[in-house]
Formats: sequence, C-alpha cells, structure tokens
Amino acid sequence: MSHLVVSNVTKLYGASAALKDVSLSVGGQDYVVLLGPSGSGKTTLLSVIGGFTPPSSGRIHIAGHDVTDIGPAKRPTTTVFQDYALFPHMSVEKNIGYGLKLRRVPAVKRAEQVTRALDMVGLSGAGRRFIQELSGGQRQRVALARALIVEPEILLLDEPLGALDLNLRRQMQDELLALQRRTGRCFVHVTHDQEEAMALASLIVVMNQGHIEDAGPPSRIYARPATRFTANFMGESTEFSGPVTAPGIISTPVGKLPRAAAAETGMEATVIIRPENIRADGGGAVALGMARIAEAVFQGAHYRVFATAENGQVFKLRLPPAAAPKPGDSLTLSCGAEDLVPV
Amino acid sequence: MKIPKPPAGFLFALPALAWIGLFFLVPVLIMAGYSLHPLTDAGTPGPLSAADYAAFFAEPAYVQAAIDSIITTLVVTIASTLLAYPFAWCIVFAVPKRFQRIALIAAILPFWTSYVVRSYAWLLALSPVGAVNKALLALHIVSHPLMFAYNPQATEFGFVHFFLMLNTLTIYASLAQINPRYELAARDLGASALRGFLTITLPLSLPGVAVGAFLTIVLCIGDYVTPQILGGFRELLLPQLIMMQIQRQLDLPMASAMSLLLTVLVALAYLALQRWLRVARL
Amino acid sequence: MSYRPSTRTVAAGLYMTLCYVFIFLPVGVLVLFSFQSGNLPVPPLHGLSPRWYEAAFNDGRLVDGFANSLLVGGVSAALSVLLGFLSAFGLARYEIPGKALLRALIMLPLAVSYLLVGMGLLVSSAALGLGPSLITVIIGHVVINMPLAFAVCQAQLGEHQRRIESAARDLGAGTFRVLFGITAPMIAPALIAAFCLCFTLSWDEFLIAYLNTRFDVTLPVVIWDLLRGGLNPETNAAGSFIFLVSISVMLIVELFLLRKRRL
Repeated sequence: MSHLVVSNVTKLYGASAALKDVSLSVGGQDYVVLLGPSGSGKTTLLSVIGGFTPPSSGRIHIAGHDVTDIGPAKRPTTTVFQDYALFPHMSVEKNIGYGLKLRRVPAVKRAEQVTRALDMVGLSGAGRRFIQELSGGQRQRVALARALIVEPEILLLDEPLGALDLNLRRQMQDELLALQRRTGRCFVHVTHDQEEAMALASLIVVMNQGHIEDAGPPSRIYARPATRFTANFMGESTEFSGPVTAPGIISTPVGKLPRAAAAETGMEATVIIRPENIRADGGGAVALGMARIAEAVFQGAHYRVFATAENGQVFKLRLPPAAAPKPGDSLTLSCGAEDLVPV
Repeated sequence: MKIPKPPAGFLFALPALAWIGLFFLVPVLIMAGYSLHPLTDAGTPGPLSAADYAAFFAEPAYVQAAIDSIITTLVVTIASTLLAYPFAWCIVFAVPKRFQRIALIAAILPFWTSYVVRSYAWLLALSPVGAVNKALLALHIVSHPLMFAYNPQATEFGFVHFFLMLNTLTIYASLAQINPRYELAARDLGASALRGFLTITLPLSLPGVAVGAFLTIVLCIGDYVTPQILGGFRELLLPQLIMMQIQRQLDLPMASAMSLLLTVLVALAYLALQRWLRVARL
Repeated sequence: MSYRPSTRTVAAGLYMTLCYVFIFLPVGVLVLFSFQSGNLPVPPLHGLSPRWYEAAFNDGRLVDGFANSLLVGGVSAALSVLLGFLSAFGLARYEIPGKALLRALIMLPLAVSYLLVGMGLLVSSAALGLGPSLITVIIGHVVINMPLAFAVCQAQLGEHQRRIESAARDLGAGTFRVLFGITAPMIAPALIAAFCLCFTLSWDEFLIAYLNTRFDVTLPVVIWDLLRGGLNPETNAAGSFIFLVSISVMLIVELFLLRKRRL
C-alpha cells in the first residue's frame, strides 16, 4: 500500500497556500482520483507528484525512492495534460515513439512497440497521420499511448476528459478503466466531476482549499462521507442540524434523530441523508414528519422532488415515475436509522 | 438575361484590388514592356528585342554586381538569423514575463527610423574620425584609425544591424505563440532541456525564422541606401547599378530589365522558403 | 519549473546586453552628437548646444521636406487603412470564390522590393508623360502599406465582432451603418495602430520618394541631399528629429495595443 507516498506536502505561493500539509498513501494497482472544485489544490498536488512544481515542504516517495528533488524528466511518472500537448510537427507514431527515442531504443524495436501501443489504445494503422487530422477522442488516445509506452510507475492525468462531449466522455471512461486494469499501473487522475470519479476510482481523494477532506473507496465516500463538504460535493443530500441533547441524539426541527458519532452535549451537530434513502411509503424506522411537494423534476428513471415541511425544513428526495408527484401533494417521510450520516 | 450580381465581399475588396492592379501590376507590366525595347543611339526606345537582357549577362561587371548582391544578401540573412534567434529566445524564455514587452519594444526601437538616417548614423560611428575609432585610439588598442567604413563589410554590418531587429521581431512572434506545454511534455517523457529545445521548440519556430529570412532577402537585395552610403564604390551592388542606369545613362529600359531580374531572384528565394512560409500565419 | 539562477541566465544576460548595445549604438551616437557644440558630429564632444536644431528648423529645405512628409504620410496612411479595412472586412465576412488568391494578391507588394514598386511608378509616369510628383509617392506608399493595414485589420475581425454585427443587422441596420457605425469603432485601436504603422513606414521611406520626386521632396530625401555635404551636425539634428517622430508614433501604437490587451 505504499507505491506512492505523499508526506506532509505544503505548497506556498507567496502568502497563500495551495496545499496545506497534505499526506496520502496509494497502492501500485490503484486508480486514484483527486476530486474537488477549482482552487482545491488537486492540480497542484498532481503537479507536485509529477515533479513540475517543487513542494515548499514535505517529501514524495515513489516505489520506495525519495523523488522530491528529482525533475519530471528523471522521475518515473508521465503525464497526460489537459490539452494533450501532442507535438504538432510530428506524426502519431513519432509522438508515441518520442519517449522511446530519448531512451535510445533502436528503431526496429521502437516501431514494434509503437504498433503495439497503437493497438492497445484502438488506433491501429493511424501511425502515419498528423495530429491536426485527429478528433478529440483520438488525440486523447495518442496522448495515453505516448505516456504509457515508457512504462511509468505512475500515470498522471490532468482533467483528461474535460474537452470531450458527454457520450465520448462515458466511452473514454470505460476505456481508461480497462487500460488501467490491463496495464496494472497506478493512475492518478484529476477531475471536478464526481460522477467520473465514482466511475473510475478505486480510491477517491476529495480535496478542498488545499487539504484533503476525505479519502476512500467510492461507495464509502458517497454513502458515509466524513465531512459536510464531501457530502455536498459527492451528491445531493438533506441536512438536519440541531444541538446534541443526549449522547447519540440531536434535536432537530423534525424531531429527535439518532447520530452515530461522538459529540459533546449541547454542541451543534448535523446528520445528512441521501435523497434515495428518504421514503414516502411509511416504511422507515425513523419518522421525519410531513412535507408538501414544492417542485418535482422528471429525470427519466426517477423524479427529483423538493418538499418543504411547515417548520421550513427542506427535503430532497426521489420518487419513482409511477408515483406521478405534483407540487402541492403531501408526503409522510421516514428513513432507516443507518441512512442518517453524521458529518 | 439577368446579369449575376457580384458577391458583396468582392465589392468590398475591389478598391484595394483595383489599386494594386492599377498602380502595381500595370506599372510592372509597363516596365516589362520597357525592358524589351532597348534604347537606340538616339536615346529613344527601339524595336522589340531582348538585347538589354543579353547585354546584362554579357557584361562581367553587371554579372559581378548581381553575384555580389546575392552573396551579400545570403551573408546578411544568415548572420542576422543566427544573431537574432538567441536574442529572441532570451526575450521569450530568459526575461521575466512582466518585462517581456518592454524588452521587445526596446529591441526594435531603432527599427522605426528611416534607413537613410540609420546608415548615416553608422557612417558617423564607423568613419575614420568616428566614435568607434576614437574609442579604440583612446584605449590604445590601435595606433591609427581603421577603415571600417566605405567597404562591403561596412555595408553588411549596416544591414545586419537592421535585420537583427527585424528577425528578432519575427522569431519572437513565432516563439511566443508556441504552447509551453509542448516542451513540458517532452521533459516529462525524459528529455533534457537541450533535447527538448532541439526536438520541439526549434522545429516549431522555423516558420517565424522563414518569414524573417524572406523579408530580409526581399529588403536587403533591393536596398540602395545602405551600400551607397557605407559601401564605398569599389564593389557595386545591383540596386546601385540600377540607379546608375536611371541617373547617369538615362536608360530606363535597361534599368527596367535589371529590376525585373532582381525580382526573379526574390521569386527564387520565395520558392526555396515556400515550405515554411506556407505554414507561417501572415 | 523551479527557477535556479544559473550560468544560463548569466550568459543570456550578457548576450542580451551586447545585442542592445549593438542595436542602440548608431542611434545613440546620432542623437548625442546632434547636440555637439563643435562643428563636427564626431568625438570629441565639445559641449552641448541646441544650435544645430535651430539651424535645422530654420533650414527651408528641411521645413518643406517635413511638411511634404506629413502630407504624404497622412494621406497615404489614411488611404491604406481605408482600403485595407474594406478588403479585410469583405474577405472576412463573405464567402467569395478564390479567396486565397485574392488575399495573396493583396499581400503581393510585401513580397517584392520597394525598388520594383518605385521603378514601376517611375517608368509608368515617364510613359504617360507625367513628371515626378508627390502624388506618385503617395500612390506608391499606399501600394506598399495597404497590405500591412489589411493584415492588421484581418487579425481583428474575428468571431466576436461577427456576432455583434449580426446582432446589429438583426435589429435592422444596413451594411454601411454596420461597417462604419459598429465594426470600425469596435476595432478602432487596431485601425489607429494600422494608421500609425503605415504613417511611420511612409515617414521613413526613401527609395520610392527618391525615384519619383525632384523638387518637392520628403524629409528622408532632403537628408540624402544633405549627406552630399559630408558629416554635419545639422544632419544629425534632422535625423534625430525624424527618429524621434517615428518612435513617438510607434509608442502610441504600443500603448493602444497594451490597452486593448487589458480588455
């Protein structure tokens, strides 16, 4: 579990800190996604791992070696940039073979490896073409091939799918995952799209304002987020806040709710619940009161419903298409105790 | 039958095209016509004949002038490109971003002055009583003034001064718009700084180099002022020859023929540089 | 990339300094010795005096040359910008067959020597029986400068402008109103920059002027005549003046471009 170790990395630009004492440990087969909004530091962290930005303090270890003082050329990482940065004056095969040429691989062997790389990314036979002739998706594959052919310990990807339309993005996500599994290498992928993160990652690292909010597998991060920020970033939720009246209980506008986390009596605390876990069929163990539907938006497989209680509490929940919800309808809401997540 | 309306865009471009047609293409054609009617002994244009062209190639002094023009232009182009490239490179990559514009503006400031004035200024600096010689004498590097001016080297020197600035500008424009990510990607894949420059930045900057070189060739080969002021009169260049035909011999047909031959040389240069010029955005 | 002050930076600094010295040497000498209180514009510098500037401003030929240069520069620059702007607009906004050819034609004068342009006009004037004239010079300057004005305007007439023009047309504006009421004001900085560029190049231009004038001459041609008289601080003063006007105009251009970039 220590193929990539980031130890207490801080990066300062003048007085402001892009990274604040960040630590992370990643395994050799992991698909890591650094997830967060702009300014969260995820791109800076990627840049520090890749050797493009030296940290103000802290160390980076890759495959057991301290690489903190090594530049990108000698570091065992390669990067797929956001705009791919494919060399415009070279053909596809020259682009892909560039790293091999630098490593003095003889021409015949180079050609073999390039052909294999093209096959691997699904671009067989496109070697002679120039970058200008390729579509966005094709360019992405060339960038991947170019970065993977030199067999890096870690492949870094900086928002690689941002420039693609939705369908192409979904397709490329599948291909990226397949590629990572096939090559068995560690990928570190930066994105602001939480759906993309959940689709790809074996480890999601949620970042905000230069520090790590939460890190873990997608299912855990989504269902049981460690912080409020993580909860909100990973998806919609309904929040219930109130003072702690007894150990494990908080008093909220909808009544007393269980909260499975340590907190001092009298302190303000919050639990959240995901929209799919709020039930309107009266089956849940914990009662959440009554609410009137304010808005119901059809989303295809479900309705996204906003309901308000008399005391002002807003609920975000989902209802099946068969329920045909309309504004003004009254709902009786409940949930299971285990669905209330302390943040 | 309905007369088709000309496309509106064409109408907008018409004044410019008409101007070039009327005041550039037509005069050149008239010149071509003149060149084919060499002067008779009476001093008037004679019958249709290519005699002037033949006379040009038959006269060793004329051919020598053409060769000297070509050699001077090549030397100047190569020298200014070799000097300008590192200069432009420094402005783009060695100067902090916020000083780059000032550095560039300063580098080409003396560009914006008439070449008559500039050549005169060099004459001042290089003449036997000029600043350079006086400085050398004062520092006891030489014991008597050296003949820097009034020779072909002075002409080349004056040219290189001007074209250094021009090429710095075109090469700067080319280098500045190269996406810095390209070199970054090359380094990421393992290239050293030098390797990255040679394989990525240099090839991508060649269109700018080509544009500068072409402009240098065009302006240098047709320049009359610099060799006339700085060159002395032992070795004449083609433009000086042409001027002599106009002023001394009053032989416009011969001058026309020579000017067209000069243009042919420029066209040859264009063909040689075509591959990179097409890539450059002008 | 981490910044390490290195031998590379020192070498760069040294090379740049040498280049700047080389570039400014003649101009520096020119301006310095225009203030020479002695009689020769060469070292030693006896002292500073403005008397050569006084002589220059009182010299009839120089004053006439200055006026002529202003006239030629102003008129030719205005025409160049007008023609360049119209043709750039036409080629940028409309689909015309053979657009590439037309563009090449408009840019053609840039690819030939001034000598050819000047000679062409000289020979044509002679053929038509017309004598030398400043009008010929104006015509010639438009030929060589209009392609530059075209290039400057063309670079500015992008998608952003096109959409605003479409909005204006949508509201009912006719073509000429769009052209002169919307487009021209929108790219005004570029138009001014193009004007200044064309003016400066005309102001500095010698060969076409020399070939096509005899009595009414422009300033560079006057300087040329003065050179016959040998090295003279008055020539320095006149030359420095020409230089000063040129760089002032170009600095105005730089300021306009700078302001535009901040938008």
